[in-house]
Amino acid sequence: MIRLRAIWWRVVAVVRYRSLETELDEELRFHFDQLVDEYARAGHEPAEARRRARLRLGGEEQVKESVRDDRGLPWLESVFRDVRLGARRLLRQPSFTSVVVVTLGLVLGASVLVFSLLRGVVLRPLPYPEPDRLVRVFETHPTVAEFPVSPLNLVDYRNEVTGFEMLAGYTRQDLELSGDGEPQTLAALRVTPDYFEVLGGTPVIGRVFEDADTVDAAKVLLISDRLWRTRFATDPDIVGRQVQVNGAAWTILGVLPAGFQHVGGNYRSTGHGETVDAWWPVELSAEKVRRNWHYMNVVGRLADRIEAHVGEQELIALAAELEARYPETNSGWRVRVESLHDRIIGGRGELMALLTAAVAFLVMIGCVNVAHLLFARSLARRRELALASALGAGRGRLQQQMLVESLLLSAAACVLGLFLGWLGVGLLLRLMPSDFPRLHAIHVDGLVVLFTVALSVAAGLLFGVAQCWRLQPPTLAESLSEGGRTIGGSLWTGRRGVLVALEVALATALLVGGGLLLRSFQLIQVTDWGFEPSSVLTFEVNLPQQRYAEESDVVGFYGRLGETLGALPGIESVGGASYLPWTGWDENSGFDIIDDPIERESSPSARFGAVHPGYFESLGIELVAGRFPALTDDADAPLVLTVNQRLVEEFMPHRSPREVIGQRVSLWGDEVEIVGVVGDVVDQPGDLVPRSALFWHFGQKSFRRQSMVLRVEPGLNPTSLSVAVRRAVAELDPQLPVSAVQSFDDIAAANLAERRFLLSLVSLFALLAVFLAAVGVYGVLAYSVHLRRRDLGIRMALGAAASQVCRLVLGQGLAWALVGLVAGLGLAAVLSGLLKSLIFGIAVLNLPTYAAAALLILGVCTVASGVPAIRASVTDPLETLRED
Amino acid sequence: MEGDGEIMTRKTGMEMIQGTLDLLVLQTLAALGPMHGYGIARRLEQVSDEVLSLNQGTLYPALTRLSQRGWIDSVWGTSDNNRRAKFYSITGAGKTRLEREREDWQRVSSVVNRVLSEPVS
Repeated sequence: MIRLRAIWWRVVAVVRYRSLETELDEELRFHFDQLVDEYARAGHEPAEARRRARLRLGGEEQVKESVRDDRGLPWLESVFRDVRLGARRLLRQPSFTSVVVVTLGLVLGASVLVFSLLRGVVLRPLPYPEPDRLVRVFETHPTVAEFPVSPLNLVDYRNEVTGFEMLAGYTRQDLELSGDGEPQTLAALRVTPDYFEVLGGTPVIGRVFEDADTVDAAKVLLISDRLWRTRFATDPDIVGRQVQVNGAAWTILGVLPAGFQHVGGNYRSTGHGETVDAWWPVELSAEKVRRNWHYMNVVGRLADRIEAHVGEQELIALAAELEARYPETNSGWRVRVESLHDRIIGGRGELMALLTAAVAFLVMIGCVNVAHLLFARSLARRRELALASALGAGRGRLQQQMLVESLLLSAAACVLGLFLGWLGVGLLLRLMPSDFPRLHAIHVDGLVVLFTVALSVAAGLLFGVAQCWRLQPPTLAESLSEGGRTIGGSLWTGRRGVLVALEVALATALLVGGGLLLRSFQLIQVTDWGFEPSSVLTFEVNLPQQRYAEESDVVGFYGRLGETLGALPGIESVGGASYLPWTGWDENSGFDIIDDPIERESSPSARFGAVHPGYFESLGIELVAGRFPALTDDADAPLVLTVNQRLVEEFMPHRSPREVIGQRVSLWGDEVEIVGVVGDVVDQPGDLVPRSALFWHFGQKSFRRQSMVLRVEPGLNPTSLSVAVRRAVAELDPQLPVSAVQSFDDIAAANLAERRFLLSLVSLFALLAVFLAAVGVYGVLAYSVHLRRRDLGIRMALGAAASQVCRLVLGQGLAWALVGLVAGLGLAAVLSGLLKSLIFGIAVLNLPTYAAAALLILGVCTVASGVPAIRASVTDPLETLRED
Repeated sequence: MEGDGEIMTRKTGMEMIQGTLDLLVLQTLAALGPMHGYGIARRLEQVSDEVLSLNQGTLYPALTRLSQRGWIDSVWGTSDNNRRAKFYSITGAGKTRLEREREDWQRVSSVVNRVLSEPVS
């Protein structure tokens, strides 16, 4: 108890330091005055009385010191004092302080950036209950590694499986909302009722689907919180409200909460996140759907304590059973199970690793620079330290001072770094592709701040300890005389040279990485993509069943639309297709080549779609043989088909495209004649191989959903025609929503966004690293020259030419840089594995890139070494010899 | 300086009793009521026959310690000759402490006396 009270008293004393000092001062003065009076009364002279009084009381400062030791928390007070003194000392050397703080701040900012990324994307659990029990299920076939699931198979799996608690299915099918307000296309998913249970989504109001709702006639839907707020103004009576969907009256059953995130998927799905506006039930009955249609995405929850691979085995066994039961549709089909976590985040692993490595390099380079600066400065203070030591400062005390100073610097750098990092994250989010996984979760949160603070404290301690350790308090005599100091120079040159080489190596490696990414990005952009994306405007229209029941209605509408759009000013040509390149469409169909000379195990299969006349021309896709679709290919004309070059290469390999014209194939039960072969377009920029594709001609097979393509006149901004386009559609049908109005450049940019983002970050880091390394080379060399100035001065006085001195210094700098360069190139080669999946079109050991990086580093280091070299050569030797 | 040797012995003498200085201060305050630092120092010198005449400064850390532990209190007042001074007084807890320490001390010293009074062979 007493001890506690004593400690508390001491803490209070620290706070009340100043007033207690004043009191003590006054108290001691009183005591002293009393003693002086005493001696004066005893007959002493005033001066003598004072002397004796001083002896009797003790030295004033010493008494105060011993009181202070007992009164406060002396250690804490000494730390405060060091902080004050240290801050003052640092502020008196603004250039030194600012260089250190800015260097450390920059590298800390970079690490805040990367760590925020890691934290948001990788280090955060998925927003579902027990997320590690969630998996995605796919079906596989010898011809395809991963395929959506057949809904009828799904029904059987659900009924018979035991290793899974639930298997829910979802597939995207957007809804057209009309009625009060603008017609709007809702991003919608058709789901099995257990979808919400699997993901732990409980409606805010209303209820989820029950089995009774899963008939097409039910016309019920659930909406998202966002839609509730934006479209329905958070109507409290939303449950049971009727709305116009797809031209009919539907009932809203409930609202899902904000923060409920979809699991995503590559096919017939929206991305991961709060990307869904509405959910409606899917019907899985054998009458409506065929077993060999695969279009369901499946997300499942494993039963308690069942591992994913065990569940997978069970499903595979079930698939084999189904194969026996339904040999025509299920032969060869099996199952694959993948954890949801891997699915959402996977593939970004290399990207994350690369960024982490890059920022680690940057931090190391920054720290080496700062360490050297601090060390150089502490050497310069040897005199001051020797004096302090002679006056009684203990070694521990001096070390504490140095440590406090280092921590002050790193604290300032931490604040700067957090600020820069926060800015950087904001910028980053704008750069990043919108479909980057968990984009919404990336921000500077508490953990990131904590990490940065810890990092800066560690750096501060490291620097402080390094300084103390290396610096033996020199003897007074040693440091007060500055003569004969050539020793100090060479003692450290070796070790400093290693550090400089290290910096150069890291910077080189980063530069090579950045260079490879840059080259790859450039290649993507100049690769012949098979079409011309600039000056193209696109938009999507989906005709509802109710008002366009017959195929002739659909064909008629799009025909009129094509005419209207073609007449708009600024339009060069118009076309349409059921899907556009680079949008991820991937619906395939089997077909049979009539009189096929090749024996095949299974039918050839290719991506299918329907195109309007004018589509290929508008996109600038090349005609390889035959003819483009024409208006004469209508319902009365013979059925015709256009295929792409890849299809010919893949399935009719020994024939040229021209020979293929006239070939008949069987597709969807019809006999069709190939009349045209067009150039290939890859799925995604950066893909190396295009997929086989065949195209119906729109007059003969129509799809309700079409993407219209308009080529605008060169020089015109495609999006400037958006309003005219919407008006044209509205004239033909005012209730028809128009969605996804964008220029193809935007689609292209979105696809390349992830690469561009990575490139930007790594380039930034690389440039920063090179700059810091150059500063490091310059600094170390300049300092070494400074230490050796007497030596060099003597040389010059004895007849060495200025150029010789210059060459000497330059040579030293370049020697270190060369060692670092070679090491860096080696390091880059070793780490190039990290880049393999991120680079397109070039080998990771691409010689020109390495050579370019080497040249740049060499050039920078030459300049960085040149400056101190030239300065050394122009100093007057007499001056250096004179100073002591 | 006159009496250098004396100064040395006296200084050592003061430090040896450093530990019990706290006790002596408490006793002084208990017996004579509130006093300022100078007064306490003078009193200790008188009682100890001038052994404790130097380094009166060592009193002040002791006063600080005693205040910390709550055994003495302090208040600013005016001295006899109208100067401002800090007056210390013993607290209730201090009195308890004093009693206990006195008992301990007496016990210890009686044992030591007994041991030391044994005849030397």
